[in-house]
Amino acid sequence: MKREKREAAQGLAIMIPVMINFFIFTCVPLFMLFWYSFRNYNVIKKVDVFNGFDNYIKIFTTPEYTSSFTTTILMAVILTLVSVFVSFFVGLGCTKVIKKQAVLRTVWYIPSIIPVYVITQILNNMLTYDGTMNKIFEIFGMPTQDWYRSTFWMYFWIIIITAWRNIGGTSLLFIAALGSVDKNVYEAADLDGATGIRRIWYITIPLIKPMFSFIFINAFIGACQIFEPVLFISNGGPDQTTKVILYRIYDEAFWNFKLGFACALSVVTAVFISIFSILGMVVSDSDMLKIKE
Amino acid sequence: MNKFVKKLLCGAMATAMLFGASACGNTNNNTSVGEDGSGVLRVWGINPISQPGYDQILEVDPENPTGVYSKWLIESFEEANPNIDIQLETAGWELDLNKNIMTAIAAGTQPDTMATATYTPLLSRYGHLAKLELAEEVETDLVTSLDDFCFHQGKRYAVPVTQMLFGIAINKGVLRKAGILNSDNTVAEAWVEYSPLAPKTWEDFLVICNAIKTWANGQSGENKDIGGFLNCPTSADSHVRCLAIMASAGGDFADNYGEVYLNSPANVKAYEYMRELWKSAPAGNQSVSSLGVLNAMFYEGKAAYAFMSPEEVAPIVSGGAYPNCKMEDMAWCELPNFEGVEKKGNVAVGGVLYAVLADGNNEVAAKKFIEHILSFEAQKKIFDIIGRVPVRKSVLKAIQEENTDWYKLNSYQVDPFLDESYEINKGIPVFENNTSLCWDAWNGMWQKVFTTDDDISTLLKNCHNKWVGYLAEEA
Repeated sequence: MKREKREAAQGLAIMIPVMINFFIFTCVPLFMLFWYSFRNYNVIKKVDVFNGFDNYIKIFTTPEYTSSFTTTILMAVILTLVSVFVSFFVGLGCTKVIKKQAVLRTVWYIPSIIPVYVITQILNNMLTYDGTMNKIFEIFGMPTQDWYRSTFWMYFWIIIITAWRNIGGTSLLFIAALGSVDKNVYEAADLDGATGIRRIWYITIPLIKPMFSFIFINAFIGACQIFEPVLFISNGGPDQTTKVILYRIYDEAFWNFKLGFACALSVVTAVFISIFSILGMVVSDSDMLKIKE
Repeated sequence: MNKFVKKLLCGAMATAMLFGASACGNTNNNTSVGEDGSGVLRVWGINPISQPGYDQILEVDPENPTGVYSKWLIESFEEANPNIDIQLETAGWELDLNKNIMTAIAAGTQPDTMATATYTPLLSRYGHLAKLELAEEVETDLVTSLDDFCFHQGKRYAVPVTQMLFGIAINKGVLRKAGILNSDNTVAEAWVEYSPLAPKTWEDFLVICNAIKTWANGQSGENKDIGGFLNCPTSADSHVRCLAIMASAGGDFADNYGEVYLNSPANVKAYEYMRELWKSAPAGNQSVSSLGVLNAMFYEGKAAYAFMSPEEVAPIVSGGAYPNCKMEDMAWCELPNFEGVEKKGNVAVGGVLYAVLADGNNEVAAKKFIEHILSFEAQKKIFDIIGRVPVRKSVLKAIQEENTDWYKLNSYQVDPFLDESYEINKGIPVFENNTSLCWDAWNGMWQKVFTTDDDISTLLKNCHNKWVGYLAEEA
């Protein structure tokens, strides 16, 4: 008993600094975020007054902000689907390769450690009028593209670059999940004649469903917070069609100095992400996605 | 590893997480200063005063102009004021500076003096800046083009330190290729009346640019991409470049107090002109993603004309890195006028102001530093060392009289400050509210100017109405 109490005290002693850190740098800022979201708070104008739900009403009644939410959700859905499914197949491919698996994993992981700014600057050079991408289009007889004036292409490049950076880390999770599947199940499936896509659909995916759901939800949460690729590639254009909600928060805080309103935008964003994440968890746990035998 | 060591390591790592909390409540404004300003003077610097510190820059390049100027400025100030120790800090520019000053004001850690930009009126309006009283000889000697940003209710809160005007950079090599100039750089006979090396009117300028574009369209290889004038698309400071032409027509965006001028006949004229002018732009100009890429197009010889200054161009092309853009082929001229508009106009750009923070720790030393930056010697060195334009008329006159080669390249932006017939627009306005929404609306309109044939006056009217709505919102 004495020993148990001593070990408990030691554990607590290790936990206390972590909890203090969590309280100071997470809980307090979160509380302040909620607090200021109900206030008109502008540091430069020395204004700090309670204004009730005015900030929230403005968010839902101003087309610029509602369209940013729409843009964010759309981009997040596409990005999540691309990232997760490509990562799954990359993970699956890596598990099939016995030799040089570590090399493959490293190659796929490298993009995630390259700073976003570096990648986007290289991309911007490739997307100039006489840059690499248009030259490739010319080789294939396709017309040159005005990349930055096309909403489709800006979505495309932002999603491709972000997904490419995410694949490495996500595929490692899939590799871990796929590694936990009992090989006897596959042997039994082979005996029953289940191969290729049928094997993946009826055996692999159901067996790693919990991990799949976890990855999907996490990827979606991350995708909703996309910002740097938008800032460095499209800058919110063309004509604000790629201006995601985090960009609006950044504008409100640092161009307009409206910290209270930026806090309200952050709260609404967090609520939206939470709603979609909960929906995702509910759907993944329900029978809706049950694969019919 | 035994249990005790593991627990010790875990405990140490957990405790290390508390180190971040040690910075809480720390302010830099606790050092004591004397009544004469003795002590530390914190300066947030920007070109012409370097950031980060000049010593770091000079380690990389001992001849870096900003580093050399900053070294002289700070060391000469400290020599004249041995009790004051300058602490030069980095605070970024534009958004970075916005974020840093906002954080500093909220935390009470603002510097003593800082470089500011177009949001200076907001800082002075809300009491963050200290009033400045300059010696009369200095006050009457300063150029007045940035007064809208420096004064509030008749009192001075900031001083300009350097500023520039728009001029047109000319690549004679491109003009020779297009047959506008002869091989000896004299003007081809057919083009003499249009003065391609110093067009008098925007209308003449358009004729020249269209001719270059027509010639390029008949070429193959890299010449087919050449254009007349390098446009600035939405992602790269297009608003200030547009203002240059708007100001020439007598137009403007707004004032610093929310009065919007977008919907004016002068602006309609300017935007209709710009729509035509942008048709002569080099291929791919509209797809540029940043100012760096835009400037590279000029250095690659893709345009005969551009809004660029000698200070920008000379360091890049002097070394011969760009075969299609050689320093000996470069020339500059002042902005043309519109036909029928007699008064010459331009826009104050690249202005750097310095201000003293009202809640800084060492106001006395900060004001002495401001006086030092505005001294005749310091202002002259801005031109001699860095190549930027000073703001004291006596210094500008001295530069005119010296008539150096660098002055000859920059005469288009030195002389107007001494010419009372010139009307110099203050530059991009400061908005009290919704700055980003206003410029988003303008960027959308600007795109439509050169991607659609929509009626310009309707586009301007719609944007004007949006701005009025955004600016009328309560803060």
